[in-house]
Order: sequence, then C-alpha cells, then structure tokens
Amino acid sequence: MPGPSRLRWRSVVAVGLTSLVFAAASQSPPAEPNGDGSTLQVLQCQVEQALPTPPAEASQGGFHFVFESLGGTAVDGRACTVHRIRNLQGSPPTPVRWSAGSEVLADVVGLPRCTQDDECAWIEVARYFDGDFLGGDTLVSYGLNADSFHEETPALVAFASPDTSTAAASVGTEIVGTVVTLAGVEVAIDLVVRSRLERSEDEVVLVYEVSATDDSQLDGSRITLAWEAFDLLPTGALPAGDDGSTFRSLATGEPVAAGRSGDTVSLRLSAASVVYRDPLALVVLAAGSDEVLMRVPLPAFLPGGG
Amino acid sequence: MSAVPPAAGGPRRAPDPNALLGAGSRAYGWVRKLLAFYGTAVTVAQLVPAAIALVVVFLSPTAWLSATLRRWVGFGALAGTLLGFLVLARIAGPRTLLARAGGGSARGKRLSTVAWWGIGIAVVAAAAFRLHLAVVDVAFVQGVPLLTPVFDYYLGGGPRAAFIYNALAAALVALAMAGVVAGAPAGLLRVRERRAARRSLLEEGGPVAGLDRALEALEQAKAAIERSKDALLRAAEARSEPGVTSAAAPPDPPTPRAAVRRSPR
Repeated sequence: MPGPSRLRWRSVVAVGLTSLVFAAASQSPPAEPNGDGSTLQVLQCQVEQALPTPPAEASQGGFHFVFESLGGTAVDGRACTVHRIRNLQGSPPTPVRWSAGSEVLADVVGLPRCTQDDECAWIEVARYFDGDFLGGDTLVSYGLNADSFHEETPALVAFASPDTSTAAASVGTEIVGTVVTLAGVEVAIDLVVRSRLERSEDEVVLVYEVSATDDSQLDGSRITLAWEAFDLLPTGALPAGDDGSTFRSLATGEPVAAGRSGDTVSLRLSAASVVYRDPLALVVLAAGSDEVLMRVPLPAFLPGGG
Repeated sequence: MSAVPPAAGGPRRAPDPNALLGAGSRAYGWVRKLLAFYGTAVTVAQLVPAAIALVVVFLSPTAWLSATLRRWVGFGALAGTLLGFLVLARIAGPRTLLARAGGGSARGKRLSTVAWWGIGIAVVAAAAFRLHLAVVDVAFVQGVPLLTPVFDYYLGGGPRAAFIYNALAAALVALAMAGVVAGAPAGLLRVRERRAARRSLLEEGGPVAGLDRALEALEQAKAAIERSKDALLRAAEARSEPGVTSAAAPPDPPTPRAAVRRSPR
C-alpha cells in the first residue's frame, strides 16, 4: 500500500491533469476538426474559425433555427467565409436576414419547414476571395418581414481586397440549400457565381459566370440570377437575352444573354481598365415569376477607373 | 296620547324571544349574503389576471414587432383618416357642419346612415385586422392548424407574400380608421342636432311650448265648464225641493253671444 506522501503526490498530479483537460476544453479551437481529426470542410472552404461557437440558436416568437459563420482557406488557397442557417425540427417557415451593418450576408426569404431533424439541412452561402475575414458584430433578423425579432451575434465578415492589376483575379459566391417558393414548392439551389478578370497584354476581359451541375439552374427553367453588377455596366454593354437566360438585370429585370460551355454559363466583356466594387448583391429568383428566393453578397469587377 | 316610558331604575322587561330569533335570523342572512359576495369577489379577482393577460395578448400581437408592418399600418391609418374626413365632410356639408340642423331630414338621415355604416365597418375591419395579425403568430396558428397554409404563405412566400400581407393590414386599418373618423362624428353630430331640434321645439315661443299653452288653456276651459255644470245641477236640485220659491229659481241661461252677434241689427 503506498504511503501518504505518495498518495498526496498522485492527487496533485491527478488534479493538475484534470485542470489541464478542462482548460483545454474551454478554449475555442481554431478549427473544428472532423471525427477523424481532419479539418472540417464546408463547401470549398476549409474551416479554420467558427463564430459563434457552437452555432447560435434563435428562438423567439415560436421560430427556432441555428446559424453560424465559418472562416478559413478555400481549396484554391484564397480566403473564404461561410454563413449558414438551418431551421430546427417543427419550426415554421422563417424569413431570415443576416447583416453586418449595411451589408447583407445572407437573406433567405423562407427557411423551409422540416418535420424531422434529418430533413433540416443547412442553407450555406460561401464567399471565396483574396483578402481576409474578421470577427465583428452582426444582426440576425427574422420573423414577419424578416424584422420582427433580432439577435445580435458575433460573426466572421469577409474583407475582400483583390488586386485588379494582376493577370487574373476572381471573387465568387457559392449557394447551397433549399428554399420554398410562394406556391410552397421547394427549390434546391447548388451553384457558384463568379466575377473574374483575365488580363492580356492589350486588354482585360471581365467574366461573369455561374457554374452548376444541374442544368435546370443554368437554363432558366428553375431559377434566374439578378446581379447588381449588371446595372453598373455601361449602357449597351449587356447583350439582350431571352426567357431562357440565366442572368437578369436587378434593376430592370431584363434578361442578359450569356454563353454556355459545359456546366458553366458565362458573359465575357472587354474593358480597358477594371475597378472592384464591393458590396454588390446577387438575387436568386424563381423562374417565370421573378419571385425573390435569396439575396447574397457578390462583389464584382467592373469596367472603369482609368 | 303617548305611552309613558319606563323609569330608568324601574324593573327591566324580559327580552322577547321572538325578537331575538328574528335578529339572529337577520344576522345569519347578512352573513350568508356577505359570504356569497366574498365568493363572487374572490372568483372575479382570480379571473382578473387572466383577463389582463388576454387584453395584453390582444393588444400586443407578435406581428407588431415588425417595423415594416408598423410603417404600413401607419400609412394605412393616415390614409383611412383622410378618407374618413372626406366622407364626413361630404355628408355633413362643410357649411353646415357646425350649424344647428334646420330641420333637414335628408341630412339627418344621411348622418345616421354614415354613423351606423361607419361604426359597423370599423368594428368589422378592426376584428378582421386583429385576425390578420394573428395568422402570422406561431402560437396562435399552432392552436388553429387550419390556418397553417395561410401562415406558410405569408411567412414563406418571400417579399411578394409579405407585400400582400402588409398591404392587406394597411387596407384593413384604413377601413377601420375611415369608419371611425366618418362614423363617430356623424353619429355625434346627429345626436347633437337631434337634441338641438328638441330644444328648439321645447323652448319659449316654440311650437311645443305653444301646444303646451293650448293644452293648459283647454284644461282651464274644461274646469270652467265643469264648474258651470255643477252650478247648473245644484240650481236644478234647489228648484225641485218643496218650499223653494220662484225667487230662488236660477236665472235664465245667458243668451249665446254668438247668437247675439249673428242677429241682424
């Protein structure tokens, strides 16, 4: 049987180790590891930070949903942020607007109702950009008109600062999730919209493109995309499209023609010089009815600036 | 003649057992009434918090928390008020709005119609508005599953459904306000004008006062005729009694003045 001094020593060691374990557990990990120890990847973003941790729950007025923002490095090495929202089981359809100051991080007109927990999927909005992200105060508003209830929450906000003088630059937003239309129809969205520039010796080509594996998101039969960037292009620069066009002008609703290549629809414009505009909005519309389904941030490269 | 009270130091009367029983019975009755009142008061007092809670819930639906809806409702209330003003001015007539009614029965009828219709529409619109606010309340809709599709339409339908909801709320508030603003003053004006008309009838020199005076004169004339009739009957009885001379006979009835007046000269 060990002596009293040895027992005391063992007790001290046990208490010290327990304290260390609790101290380590209380620290927020810089990245949320998966079960196998690898870094969590959400869409194309390898997560390094999450805020709030754990995901915050909004539960006022009978609405219940969770939300969180993630930040990290995209698979192509750029910075990325993800803002995602998930309705909880039994919660009614919920309009949600997540904003940081005047910038809308994600505006979902209706989180779909889910009767079972495994049906309650995340609606995710990922941004890929050159720059950094910072934690700041944001506001989640929801309920009727998306302004009945408010939750102030810390979240990661993107600060994109792409170099427009390089040979190539790109900013993009990826949207994945399901929303409901006015008629109660669920619309699954899974696409990436980008604004890119390709610089050659004598000109710069601005590319506005959307990629999706599902054709119905590209042929205008399920959704269309109204981008604020198109309203800032010079008059006459936009080729007129038809009902099958994916892109729309946000201000006028006029279709914009774009070429199809594989799973990408793109509009290419030549420009003498380029400026970067942030923030701009991309609005996802239901096909045919011009009914707004989502509004997400999507800055763009535009002609101008000398 | 009054009874003499017993002397202070005199023998005391034994208490009446019937009086004691009566007093006891009365006291018991009072206690019973008091207990019944207490029971009612306690029941009412227990209901008061629930009633207050209901009133609070009724007056503060969750939909009010939406600033957008409050703006719409504000615009609706403003528009309804203006509409009510216009309706009231049209039916009441700007020139005679504050004037006493000059016996215009058509105007009075118009005021009554607007008052009843205005208040009726206001009550119906206010009730519909309250229901409209309730259909986007999660707790209320969970209690009335029938309304779930309506809830889903307004909450999950995006900006267009929200626009319809807000516009409908504004329209209902506008109707209610228009009804109140037009109906309530029209009703008050109608009551005021009716009172004024009655006063003008009753005041000195008015038609009702004249009729009252005529009725009074008729009463006096009736009394005079009654007196004459009595006098005539008494005289007839006196004549028929034995020993009464012809000197006691009543005088000849007066010649009717009308007959005198009508006689030719």
